[in-house]
Amino acid sequence: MGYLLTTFLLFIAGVNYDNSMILNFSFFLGSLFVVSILQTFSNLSGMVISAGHTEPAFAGSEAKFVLHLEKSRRKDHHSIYCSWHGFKSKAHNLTSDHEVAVTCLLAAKKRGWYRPGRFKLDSVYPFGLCRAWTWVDLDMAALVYPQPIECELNMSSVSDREQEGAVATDGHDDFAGLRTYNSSDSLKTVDWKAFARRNVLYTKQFQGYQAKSSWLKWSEMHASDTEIRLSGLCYWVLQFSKTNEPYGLELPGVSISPGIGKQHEEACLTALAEFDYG
Amino acid sequence: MAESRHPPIFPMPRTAFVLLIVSVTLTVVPHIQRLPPWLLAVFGVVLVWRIQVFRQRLRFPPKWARLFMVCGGILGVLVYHGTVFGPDAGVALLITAYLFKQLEMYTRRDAFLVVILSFFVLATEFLFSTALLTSIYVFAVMVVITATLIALNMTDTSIAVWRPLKTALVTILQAVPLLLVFFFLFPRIGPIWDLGMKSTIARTGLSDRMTPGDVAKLSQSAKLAFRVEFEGEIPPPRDRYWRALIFDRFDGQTWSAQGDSSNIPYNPGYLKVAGEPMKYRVFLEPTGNNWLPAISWSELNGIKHRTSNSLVHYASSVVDKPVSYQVESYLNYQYEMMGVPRDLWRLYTTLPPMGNQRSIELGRDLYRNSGGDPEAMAAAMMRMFAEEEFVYTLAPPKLGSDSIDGFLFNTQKGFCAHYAGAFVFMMRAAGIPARMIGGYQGGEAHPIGNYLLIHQYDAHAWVEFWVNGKGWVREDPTAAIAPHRIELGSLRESLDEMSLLNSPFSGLDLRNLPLMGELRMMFDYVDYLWFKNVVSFDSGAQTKLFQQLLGKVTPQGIALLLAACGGAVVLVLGLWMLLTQKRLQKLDAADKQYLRFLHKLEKMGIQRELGEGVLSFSARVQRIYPEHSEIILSISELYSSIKYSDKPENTKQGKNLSGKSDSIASLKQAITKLKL
Repeated sequence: MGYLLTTFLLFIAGVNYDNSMILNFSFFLGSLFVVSILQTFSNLSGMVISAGHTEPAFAGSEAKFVLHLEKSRRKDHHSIYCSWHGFKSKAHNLTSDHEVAVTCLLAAKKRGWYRPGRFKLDSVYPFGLCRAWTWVDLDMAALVYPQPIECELNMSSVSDREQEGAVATDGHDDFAGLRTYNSSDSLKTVDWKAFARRNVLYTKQFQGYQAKSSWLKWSEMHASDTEIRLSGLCYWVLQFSKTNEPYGLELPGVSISPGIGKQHEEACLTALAEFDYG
Repeated sequence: MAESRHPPIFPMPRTAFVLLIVSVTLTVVPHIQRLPPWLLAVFGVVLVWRIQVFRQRLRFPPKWARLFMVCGGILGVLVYHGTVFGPDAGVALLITAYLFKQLEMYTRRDAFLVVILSFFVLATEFLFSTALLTSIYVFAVMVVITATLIALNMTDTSIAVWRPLKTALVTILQAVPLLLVFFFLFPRIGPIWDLGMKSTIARTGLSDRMTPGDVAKLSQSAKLAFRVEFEGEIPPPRDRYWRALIFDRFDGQTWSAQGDSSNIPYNPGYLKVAGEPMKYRVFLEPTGNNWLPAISWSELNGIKHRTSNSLVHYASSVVDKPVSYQVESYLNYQYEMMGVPRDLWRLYTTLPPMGNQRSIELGRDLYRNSGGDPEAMAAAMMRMFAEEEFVYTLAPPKLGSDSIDGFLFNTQKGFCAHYAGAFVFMMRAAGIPARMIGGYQGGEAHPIGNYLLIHQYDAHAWVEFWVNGKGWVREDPTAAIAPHRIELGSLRESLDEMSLLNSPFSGLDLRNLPLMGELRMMFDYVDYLWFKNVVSFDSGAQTKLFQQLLGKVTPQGIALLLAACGGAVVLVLGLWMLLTQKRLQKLDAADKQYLRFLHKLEKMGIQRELGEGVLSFSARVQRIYPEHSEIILSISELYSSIKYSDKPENTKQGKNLSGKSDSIASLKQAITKLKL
């Protein structure tokens, strides 16, 4: 606005002082404004926008959506902002980098597949006098797990114990021996005393007893509301994962046999997220 | 605590900051000579302060301090200029505000405002000069300011200073075609209201009061007075008497031209012209006065003016910027040949009440001896100047109270005003209406352009006296002394060695060095072209252009022309900007074929899932159609080999390209063959 006002004032001044150079100056500012519109448009155009990966989230937190902006062959793209469902990214530049990843954190409100739809890319570069924007719909989706809500776990649901005595390595109950260090081993388990003595890294191995194998069952959750039930189950899935206890999940129509580990946890959470009752 | 009162300062990129400081400096520098000296001190302090703020050594001054400084600044300008109106005071005020704004740059908006103000302050430089050099300077600074604006909108902190400068230059060059459209086609309207532009800059040039001695100083100025472009041949020097002023009053010491003769309009009925007119255009430098020099009798076009009874033209407003006007001069003319109005007759024959008795007697004697014929008397006076020991010098001795007597009978040394003054005085003593004319004579032809340069040292004074039946007759008494001056048309050759040695001829000294002289001439030519074609492009020139382009000039026609040309320029520019980039969105041939394949499957109710890879999709389809397994696999493998393994091949030429088109052909074939 200030720019156009200046242009106009100079025009008036040029006319009134009968000063052709001031008049030309105002014409120049006017032309520059028109060119800036084209420039701003050109800054945004030519980019290749592609969908990157998404990361699931718990309802009530933020799901991560990654977009990739790839620069066109001949020109740079400056100061591009992405806004998506209330999220506004920082400025991204495609100048020295050929490609940038835009990470968008979108508030995930509801359990299930979250499809935020179209997002907006915009830029005011180079002059900040006008804004070019584009709506893009890459049909991206992220899985939203139920919000974990602490609840009482009906002890009867802890049932169907497997045979006791099964030994699981990587437990943390009893010391079982040393083995040579693996780069994936936690530093907490390194035997530092042995390292000091022999200058070789050893990992302490512990044993645990796969004593309890719990079933988390839909039918045994107290709450009447579907979402609250799922939230409760979600809470316990996380709890069991944390303590590394084997657990199984049973929902109407879905049954995941007991297990441990990241993949197992993910399978359970996905089942909870995708669960559709009725 | 103080921290919380100040809003946080937005992090300006270093590049933007450097450019901003450079912009501010370059914008203010050309104004320096016109600004109050204390403002320069403020300028220095503000710059240092701003830099320290950026380095986080200092904070911006608090609000009350800024308010105090701004009020102080306004008062200071008021005291220095005595007013807040007019260009000088106005620009000083603007710069005061502009400088103090530097110390209040908390937000991006503030920085943006400073950049916009820079444009404004820069443009005001044109109020004072529209010369080519000024314009080039303004253009260069404009690039820097534009770069600052761009840098402010850049978020990439790693970018070098030259990058925004380059972008700015490119953008400005892209704006030039549209600028030209605006320049030629945007309707030029006259002033909407009168701003009473009064410049306080002293202008050198002719003065409307002449006490012999003044012209000597004027002669030493090598400044350009005006340029003249002739349509045909440049006339010989003896015809180049550019009349500007009529000195009709003499008080014994001083000739003055504040006179009554200029206030009476000329009467076309008394004028008789003959012959073909000489056509030329005058490009007058600012004079700070209204005179419009021309060779009489002349008709002026292209400038608002009036013509007085003494046949001198006065512009309607003071010439405080370069102007140009078209002239048609008739060398062969007569005016008031049948008689001079009574009150003017009295004016043109009035002598000071006392003094110069010997000159009065000499005049009357000469008149009697010539048999009462003014022209014979003039000839007698010219003979007297030529035969007696009269010397032309720019450094004449001082004259006492009876200046005419002193010149005629004692010193006999002087320059044009002495001779012209004595001539008019004696004529008036004899009762013949006579007046001294001030203006320019001669001029220097430019070696390249077909135009004449008239400098301040070409200023001259001559006389006109009235002859019954002929009207006003011109006589140049100085010609009797130094005839070669009139013939060669320049003062340079006629200067005697003494005066040349004694006077500080800054401009003339340069002229003695051949190379400098040539450079000066070259530059003058470019400057002249600039002024002629760009600065003085006005509504008149524009109307002519419209007539050529449109035939009939109507507002609708102009609007249409402007819109068409502007639109065309923007369209071409836009297309160029977008077409020079490679279109990446286009589907390539392999994609098209693969889409066909997907389409076929879709008809059978098999859809590729979101994010499902080509090969995993293929595996799934193979499971559904085991009988087509082979062909489906080959389609998928061909497609992925074309899409994902050809990147290094792209750099090689020829063979691989044909290899690619081969595999596209076989892909096409395979998909066609697939019948589900």
